[in-house]
Order: sequence, then structure tokens, then C-alpha cells
Amino acid sequence: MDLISNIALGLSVAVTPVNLFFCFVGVLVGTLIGVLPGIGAVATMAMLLPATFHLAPATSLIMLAGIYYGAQYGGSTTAILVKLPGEASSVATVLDGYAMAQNGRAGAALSIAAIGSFVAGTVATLLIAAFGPWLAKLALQFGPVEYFSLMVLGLVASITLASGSVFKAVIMIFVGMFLGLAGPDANSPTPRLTFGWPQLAEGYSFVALAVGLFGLSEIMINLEKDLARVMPVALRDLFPTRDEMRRSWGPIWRGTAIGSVLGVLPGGGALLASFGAYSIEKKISATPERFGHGAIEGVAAPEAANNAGAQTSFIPLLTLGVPSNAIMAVMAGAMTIQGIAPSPKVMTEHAPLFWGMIASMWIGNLMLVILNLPLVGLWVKLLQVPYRLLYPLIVFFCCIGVYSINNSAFDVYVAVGFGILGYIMIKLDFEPTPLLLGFILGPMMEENLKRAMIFSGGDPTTFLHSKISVVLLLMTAGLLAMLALPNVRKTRDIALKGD
Amino acid sequence: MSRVLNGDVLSGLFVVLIGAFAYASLGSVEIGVIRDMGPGYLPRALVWMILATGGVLTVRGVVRGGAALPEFQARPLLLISLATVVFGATIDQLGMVVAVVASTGVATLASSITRHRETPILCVLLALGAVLVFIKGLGLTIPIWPR
Repeated sequence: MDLISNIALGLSVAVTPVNLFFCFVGVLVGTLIGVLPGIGAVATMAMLLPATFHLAPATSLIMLAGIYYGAQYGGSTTAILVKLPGEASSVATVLDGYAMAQNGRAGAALSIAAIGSFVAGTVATLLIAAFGPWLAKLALQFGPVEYFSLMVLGLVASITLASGSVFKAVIMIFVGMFLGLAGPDANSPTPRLTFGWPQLAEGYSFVALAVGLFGLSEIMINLEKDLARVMPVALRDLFPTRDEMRRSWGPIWRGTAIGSVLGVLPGGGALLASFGAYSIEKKISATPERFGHGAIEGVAAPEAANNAGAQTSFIPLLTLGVPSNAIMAVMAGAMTIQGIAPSPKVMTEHAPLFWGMIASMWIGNLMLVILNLPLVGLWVKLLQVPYRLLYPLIVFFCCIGVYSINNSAFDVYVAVGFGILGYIMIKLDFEPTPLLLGFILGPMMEENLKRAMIFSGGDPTTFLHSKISVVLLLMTAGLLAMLALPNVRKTRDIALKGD
Repeated sequence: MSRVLNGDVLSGLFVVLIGAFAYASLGSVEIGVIRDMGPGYLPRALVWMILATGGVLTVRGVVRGGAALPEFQARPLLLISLATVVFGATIDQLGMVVAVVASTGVATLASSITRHRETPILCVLLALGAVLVFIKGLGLTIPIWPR
């Protein structure tokens, strides 16, 4: 019964006109950037953080979450119509979605993608509502020892998802943690690691870091490539045939299940979910040879999975206070800026915010279905905006986004520094995501490590004295061992490259 | 020369450079002991780990060889950075309009895909949009014109 009253509380928050409006703005902006290549959800959310300052915390998080799952929808649209996955999580959809479009079934593919995503979103929302409180209650028993182990697990798990070298990803975690530690320190009167510059007294600006690493560097890289103009296919029928519907139900449910599970795992999320669901459908299909040539199952499953994964990846952040991927790191940043420390207590101390956000995800998914199917023609038109006009606009948004947090020109220079750093990182195959996660988790890990060491009198074996901590560390060791196996690594590389 | 310098060696040196930067930022911060860590304990440990891993990457690259050297293009890198710096350098004193026009102007030079006839229109539209959305709409306290 708690579940129902909680959801009712959430709905009552989510359907206020202000929250409905910003949810709409979020999914609209999300769809837009999902459609446009060359700009991702992480950079957009970071740029728009300052614009959410004067909003209420719940409203701001509702809008940012909307950008995330809106971007997934938009990314799928372009994956199907023009073979351009706007977001990495739509790469799996390209395989069969674009093939369907070439067979003249683009409309059906879009509809199934939308329906699948909506079903998945609904189920995942209910899952968060059902399991969230339980997990948060478990997490409330966590002391510093357990927390530290949990974060180690989270960081290691995030590496398994990094597509490049594992060793390089570990290095980026160290770098991120170090950068995250700069600025104020609870135990000393003067800020540390700042070269004595007063502008760095509060640490490196999170928005400057995210915008530089994910926004500016992306533009520099894109300008080196030729972003070709794309010719969209004609849209005939929006409606799937009865046969297509019948074929899709199974994949939608399986995709939802797989996506929900993979989304919760630290380091998981929409990307892993979509590839996992696609390969499973192909494996269990009686006619695997149809895959890659326009099998509707190959659209339904990854689309359901990436949306389910996108939703459930909120679970670690909202219930444990630990962000599991780059998007959640930005959400954590947004919560901190709003004065809410991510922790298991969010659910009890900020119940309306928590449940309002959950409910808004469901409403946002509904909006996306209604918004996207009729407007698909408009989105395709937007794709025709040439990058030569788009990139100066993105540069501007990066600048104003970073500047307006503190009206600080210094932060803009910091963003330039991180832009150059990000550019070199991309060139040398370093992933930016582990750095961002390390940046967010670094200070939390230090705090818990310090406390654990004080309580235990400096005994590192304290991490083996707690059952929960031992389990978490064993899982970490298991993951590391798996990564060392050449077979697993090969599969991972293939899966993440999208075959 | 090209036999020693490959993508992995460059990656390693890059990490060592980051480590050196991190070391420089340490300054004279208090280290403390393991049961009572000072503000410098974990940062210093991280610096050593960054330097060590960077060293391993470099040595491994020299001994085993590594990926090909990536190609860097200076024009987008430098001009996008410059455009952003120009924005930061002008916005406080000269206001939104000047900052947007100047930085957009620099940004359009970053690539050969630009059509220079379009640049003035783009600058005007962006400046107008910036003032309307961010200053009038969102109420940011940024001057419109030079003060």
C-alpha cells in the first residue's frame, strides 16, 4: 500500500503545471539534441545546469531527467530514418531499424520503437518505485566501510563498460579523483591543490569540467571529420501491421527485463542494455538470418531495453547516492548544486522530490510518444541544419552555460583547459567517463576512507570485517578477474563496437 | 625516432604530464598518517599512482610498441579554444553582444565548412537570441553593452 500512496504523492508533484511544463521542455530539448548529431546528453545537461538554478529542486531534476530519456528517443528516430544514431545507446537500433526504413517500413519501426520504449519506461518506473525504498533502507545500514567498498565496486564496474583500454580507464579514474579533491577540505582552513589561486578555492567547476570534456572537445573532433548531409527516407505508414505487432511483444518484454537489470548495475545503463537485448533476440530467434535485414524484433528489443536501462540507472543514484554513469554524475552534480547531497536519505528526507521525479519519468515517456510520432517530419527537417551553422551555436551554449554559474570568466578558461584535455584524451583513446565519475566520487570516497581509518585506528583490514563490504569487494574482484580473461574482453569489445 | 614514439608512449607521457601538473598543485599541504589522514594524504597517493601508471604506459609502449600516432589538426583545436577564451575575456567588461559576436566570429574560422557570407547574419542572430533568452528571459545579470 505504501507503493500506491508513494506513487500518488509523486503524481501530485509531477502534474503541477510548472513541473509538467519543464518536463515537456526537458523531453523536447532532449529529443532535439538526440536528433542532432555532434552533441550529446551529458554536455547538454551540463550546459543547462545553470538555467535550472532558479527552479525548485524537483522541477530542475525533472527537466534534466527529461533531457536524458528524450535524447534516447530522438537518437532512435535518426538511427531508423537516416542510419545516424544520435546517441550511443541507439547504435543497436541502426542495424534493423535502418534496414526496415529501406524496405519502406520506417513508420512501423518508429511506432514500435515508441511503443516499446513506453512499455519499458512504465515497467521500469514501477520497478524503481517498488525496489527503491528497499534498497535505500539497506543502504541506510551502510557505514563508511561499506560505502567505500560500494564506490570501489561502482568505479570498477564502470570500467568494464569503457570501450577502450582498461588500464587507461583506471588512470582516468585516478585523474578524476585527484581533480575532484581540489578545493575546500573539511579538516583544514585553507583550500588545497589550488596553486594558491583564489578562483580555485571552491575546486574545479563541475560544469566547466563536463562541458569541456564532453562539449568543446567533441566540437574540435567533429570539425576534423566530414559530417555529411543526410537524405531522409520517405515516411509512408506510421502503423505497424498486425503481424509486426505480434512479433514485437515478446522482444519488448524481454528487452524491458534485460534493460531493467543491466541498468541497475553500476556502470550499466542504456548502452549496455540495448546491445544485450539485441544479441539475445538474435540468439533465441527461429530465423536469426532476418536480423540485419529489417527484423522488427531487432528494433523492438533494443529500444525497450535502452529506455528501461535509462530509467533504472537512476536507482543507484537515488537510493545509494552513488552515480553509475556519466549522465548520473551530472544528475548528482545538479542535486549538489540544489543543496541536496545524493544519499539514501534523499528518499525519506525529500520524499516529494524523489517520488515526483519518478512519476514525471512516466509522464515524460507518455509525452514523448505523443510528441514524437506526429512530429517526426519536423525532427527530420532539423537534421538538415548543417553543422557549419550548428557548431558556433554549440560553442556559444558551452560558454554561456559555464560562465553563468558564477558569472566567472575564470570558469570559462577552466572549460577551455578541459576541452583541450578532452581532445587529447579522445585522440589517445582515453575515455572521459571514468574521469567524470572519479571527479564526483573522489571526495565521497575520501570522506568515507578517512572515517573508516579513524574508527579502525588505521587498520586497512577493517574492510574485511563487515559482511556487506566483503561481498562488495568480492564482486569487485570478480569483475576484475573477468576483465583479465581474454575471452570476456573480446566479447566486450565486439559488443561495444556494435559488431 | 618514430620507432620509439608511438601512440602508447605518447599516452604514457601525457599521463606523466598530468601527474606532474598534479604534483605541482600539491604544494605544502599536510599529509598526516593513515589513522588520521590530512588533506594531502589521498591527493599525494593519487599523484604517485598517476605518475607510476603513466610511467608503466610509457615503458610498455617503448618495449612492446603500440598503436600508431594519432593525427592532430591544429586549426579546430586552437580556434575553438580561442573562441571560448575570447568569450571569457570580453563578457565581464564588454557585455553579451560584443562577447557573442567576437567569439562566434572566431569560431567560424575554425573550419573550412564555414561560408563566410553567412557569418554576419549568424553573429547578429546569436547575439539577439542570447540577449532575449538569457538576459531578458532567464534574467541573468550580464551586461548587454560595454559598461
